[in-house]
Amino acid sequence: MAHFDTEYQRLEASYNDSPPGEENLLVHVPEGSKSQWHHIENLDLFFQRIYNLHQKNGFTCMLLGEIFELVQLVFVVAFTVFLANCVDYDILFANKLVNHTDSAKVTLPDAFLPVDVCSARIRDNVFVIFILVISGVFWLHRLVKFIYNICCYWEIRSFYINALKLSMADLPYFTWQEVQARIVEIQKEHQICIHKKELTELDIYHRILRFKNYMVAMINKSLLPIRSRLPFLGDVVFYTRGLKYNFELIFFWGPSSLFENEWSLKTEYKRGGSRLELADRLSSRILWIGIANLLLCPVILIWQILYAFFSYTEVIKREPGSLGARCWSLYGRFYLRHFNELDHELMSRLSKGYKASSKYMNCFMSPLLTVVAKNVVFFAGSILAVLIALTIYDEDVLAVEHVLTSITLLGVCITVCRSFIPDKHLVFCPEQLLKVILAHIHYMPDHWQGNAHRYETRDEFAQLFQYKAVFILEELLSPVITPFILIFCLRRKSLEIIDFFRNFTVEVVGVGDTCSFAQMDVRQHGHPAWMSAGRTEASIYQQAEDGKTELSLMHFAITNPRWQPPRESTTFISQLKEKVQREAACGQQGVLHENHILTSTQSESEPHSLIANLLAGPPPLGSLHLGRDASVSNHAVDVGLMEGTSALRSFSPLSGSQHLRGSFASTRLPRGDGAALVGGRAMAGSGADARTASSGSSAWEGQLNSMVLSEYASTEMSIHALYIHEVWTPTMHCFVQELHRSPRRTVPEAVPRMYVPSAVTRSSTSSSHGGSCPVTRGTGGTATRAARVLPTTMKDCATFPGPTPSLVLPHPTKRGRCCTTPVSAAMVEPLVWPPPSPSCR
Amino acid sequence: MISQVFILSSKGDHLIYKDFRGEATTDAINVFYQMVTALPGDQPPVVMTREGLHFIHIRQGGLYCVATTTTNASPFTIIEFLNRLAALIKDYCGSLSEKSVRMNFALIYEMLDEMLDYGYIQTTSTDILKNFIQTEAVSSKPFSLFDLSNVGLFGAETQQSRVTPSASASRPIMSSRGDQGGKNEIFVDVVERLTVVIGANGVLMKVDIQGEIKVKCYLPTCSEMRIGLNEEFSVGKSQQRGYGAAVRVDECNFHQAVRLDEFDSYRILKICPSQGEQTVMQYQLCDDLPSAPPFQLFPTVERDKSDRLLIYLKLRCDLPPKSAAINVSVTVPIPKGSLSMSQELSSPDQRAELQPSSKAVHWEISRFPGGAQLSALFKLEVPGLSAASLLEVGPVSMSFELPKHTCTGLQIRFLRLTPVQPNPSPRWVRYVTHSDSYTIRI
Repeated sequence: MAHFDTEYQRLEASYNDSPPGEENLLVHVPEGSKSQWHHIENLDLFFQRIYNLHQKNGFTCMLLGEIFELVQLVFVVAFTVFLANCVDYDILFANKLVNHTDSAKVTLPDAFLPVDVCSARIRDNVFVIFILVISGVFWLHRLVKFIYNICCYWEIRSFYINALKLSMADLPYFTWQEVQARIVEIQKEHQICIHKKELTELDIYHRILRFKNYMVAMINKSLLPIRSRLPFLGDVVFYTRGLKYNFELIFFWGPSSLFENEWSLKTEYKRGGSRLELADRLSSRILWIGIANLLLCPVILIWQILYAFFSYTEVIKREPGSLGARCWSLYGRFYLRHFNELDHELMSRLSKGYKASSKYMNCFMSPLLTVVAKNVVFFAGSILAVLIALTIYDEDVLAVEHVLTSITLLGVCITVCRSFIPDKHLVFCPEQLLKVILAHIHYMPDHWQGNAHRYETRDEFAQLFQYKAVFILEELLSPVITPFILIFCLRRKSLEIIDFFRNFTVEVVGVGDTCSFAQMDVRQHGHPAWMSAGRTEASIYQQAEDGKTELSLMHFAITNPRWQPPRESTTFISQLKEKVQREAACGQQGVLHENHILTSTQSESEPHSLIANLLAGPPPLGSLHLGRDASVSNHAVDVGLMEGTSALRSFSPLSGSQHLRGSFASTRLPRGDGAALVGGRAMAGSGADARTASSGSSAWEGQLNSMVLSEYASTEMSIHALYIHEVWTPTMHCFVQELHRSPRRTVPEAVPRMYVPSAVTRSSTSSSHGGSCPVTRGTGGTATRAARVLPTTMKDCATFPGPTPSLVLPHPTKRGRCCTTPVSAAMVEPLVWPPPSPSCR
Repeated sequence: MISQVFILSSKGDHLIYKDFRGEATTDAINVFYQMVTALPGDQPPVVMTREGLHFIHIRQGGLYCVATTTTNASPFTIIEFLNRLAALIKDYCGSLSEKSVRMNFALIYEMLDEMLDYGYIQTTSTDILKNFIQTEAVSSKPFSLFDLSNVGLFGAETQQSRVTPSASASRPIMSSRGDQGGKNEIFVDVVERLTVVIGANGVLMKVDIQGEIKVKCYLPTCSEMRIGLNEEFSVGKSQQRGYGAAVRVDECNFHQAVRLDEFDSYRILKICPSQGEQTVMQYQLCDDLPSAPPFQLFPTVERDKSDRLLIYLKLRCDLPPKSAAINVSVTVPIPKGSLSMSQELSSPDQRAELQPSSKAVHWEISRFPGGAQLSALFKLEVPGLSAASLLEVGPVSMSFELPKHTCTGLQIRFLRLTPVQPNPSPRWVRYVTHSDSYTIRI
């Protein structure tokens, strides 16, 4: 052993000879670092708290919010009890006379019962006592939790201040990405996670969203019994917060749940041997929890009713239309959520899609209802008018019994009915709207495309985007229905659930057990129909539906440009980007023409506003105001538009510098316009700067902050999402066409189909479309490309029989050109920056 | 059956000679030495035969340990026996060198008496032999300041209490009766041997890592030892967990005494080590180096106008900046007719010399920090330089030692003893990667 010069080092003394069996102590914490944040045991909770504190805008805001919530609770209970027991309603309704001596006026305090009577009434009423006790226990529980939370968040606060060097006052003005970048940075110094030298963004996301990812995956694989077919209502999705809470209780953190602690699945669930036994155990556990739910049902029900009453009556009184307003359903939120998508990212995405979605839903007016509503409005309106006229003439009319009531009711009635009457100027264009929605929500069943105008599509969309009233109703019903779902539906699935957790849990170093879908590994969970054909090795059981793996990967890579994906994923991302850009590039020649069509069909300067967006967004781009210059309007718009795409392109972290060069070239190519050229350069230059910013340079911070970057990222993601959805169907479309065509006249790969038919069929200029389209691309290239596409299309067709295309376009090359312009311009833009006037009116 | 056992120094001196059966003459020693030296090349065959006498030898520490036999005995048994003998000498005398063998010849004779009886092998176990060996080992310990500085001022922890020289592992195990008794130390060695071939274009053509974990234990009583490896250690390709930088080896095998019941879940090796040195685990990894190879060479070979051969070597060390390579030596084969050499080295602590016997230039760097880049220019006087002689230059071979570095990333997490010792014995670990052959083609 002596022939080496290397010295022996002492094996760290902290590994004392501890008694055997203490395997938990295996992890060694070096003595050297004195940091308080070194080696945090429960990193899941830690990161979740960091995220929560960031989302709640700092410690003070959170503290106040929680205090008010506690006060609100006391108030709700106290006020209800007071209303029920301490008010003499006879006096209030003047059924009983008050024996006042001095005046005949009835004051509010007169209606209150004396304290002793009141307390006696309360004491006698067992039910009220019961409610009080229950709510008292609940409140105490909340109080304890609140105090505990304060202690925990105080620590998080000091972490923010001392380790992340972020003061609480600044926190609302920092994006999560920035906070996260700092966490990644300080890992090197503080070593919060000891299993790894460096944290990645994905690790943090995994930890925050561990259970959410499981839920998303389970909904994606339709494992949870939330969809049912009822005799009269048809296909119904029932997923409420109560149900979700119960699912989480059963799977993740309840007593004897599947998880040992926050980060690891119990070992027996990882082995396949005793799955039947485990399934039995799980199903009996579900049964017990269901029974407990059934027993607690009255309490929860009362609470729900009270809570709903107090939180919504005020809103309904203020604007009665709000009940008709829609919101994203809980199911929708899970269906639409990417793997590894934080709450705020999802929320911003869905909020961007809200306008278009409600517009889409409003397109569907039942003609019958419209007729009825019109007449109801007429009758109610006339009565109301008379009443109001009378009141104006003499206000004593108001004193007549029930006149004020009827005026209010009639008003409400008219408002409700009016919402059933479509706007006179409304244009029915569901296909485009659906595309716009897709640009933001990113997921959509395939059979919707082309069937956007059908009522079935609308009904299915309504499952994601339900009436608020329905939402409240479901929440109210939830305590009653939940136990039955648990007992009768979920129990049957227990074996599948056990299998799911065993098959789709992977242990990741430094993270623990996570859902393997959340790894976003195209190879393991990709779906051949969604761009990952040839790369995926997943069996049908392993494939994530709806292209979730692919889209999630794309989304995560775009929102976290610094993240280094594993090699397979990198190739997937770069290939997808390349394809999108190629399509964008070949779409550029058609841009000019297409714009005319767009502007003529929509009579709306959509592309302009995109340019305005792109230009006005970052300050240096704002210097390029020729986009809005009226004289060169159209031309500049075209160039600007395509520069917009190239700017986007250059924002993406993976694109090389050749893209920039490409965008230079393309600027010069189509337009000799001097001004536009300059503009293009400015664009490309700023794009380059943005790239350096994304790669960690601080020189750019003053000019283009990360907010701008993230806004672009969402646009880019929209383009990719649209593209992926386009590709899904066209591959089959191409194939079908292929059968009837000669091989030379093939369709370019990945031609979006959905937009074009609507543009062609609905626009009056469809004839000019074919005529004036400049044909510049050789068919030879397309032929080879299509030849490459063909095998995948075959497979797609074999595995996924989708709708056969209803419309075959006359000229294949032209279709290739038309595609991306609408995608980038009309589809994406309005929701990034909702234009003042809606696109379909 | 072994007829004779003898140990020769590299010069052919008789250090130990013992005849067990009287079947062969003393002359066998000289016969063996002639056979070994007469052969061209470095590595004579392990088993040789002359006139019905089989010679089986191993070479360790510059010494030839030879056994002769007349019967057709299993050569592997005898090789294994010789290896054990060398290991026992190391255990009992501290190290295996000419000097230590000379000083401890009595002890070694005593050992041989116990190990062999009439040529039949009795035992080679350190633990059993311990009961029979009475002779004290004589260790030659040169006085060094290093030992003094081990005693910290006021008992404070000095730097030396964190590291100990590699020589401290080379002391006899039988020291309990001696002066330095009570030092129940445990030394763990993680040694990796690197075989690399890099092509002329800088592409890795072959990588092979052979690693072993050795434990040298001075504890008198056997107690269970638990050695924890990295948790992310995985064997084979299938077990790769997650995307994290796992420590992966292709295959590994263990000492037969190692119990692996905790290996699968916690990567813990359990062993009851006997005194002395044992190889607990061996592993290997082929064709998949987790990091860049430690050295990259950028050579330029050209001839200048005055018919001199210019060899310009630029050597870059791709280790992390904190670690360094030591005892780096670069051997560049040169054309046969080279007469003299002039050199330009980038820093003074390097040496280069022309070795006419082996027709090679040796360039030695005592310490080479990671991330550094050194260069050397050798101008060779070659009469009658032709284009063909340019081709005689290369391939370059290197030898080096990378202290505190393992190419696979394997680390010892902890070493624990059960039952708990009252006074914890010092534990030392050493990570070394050294080159078996590191060849860079030009």
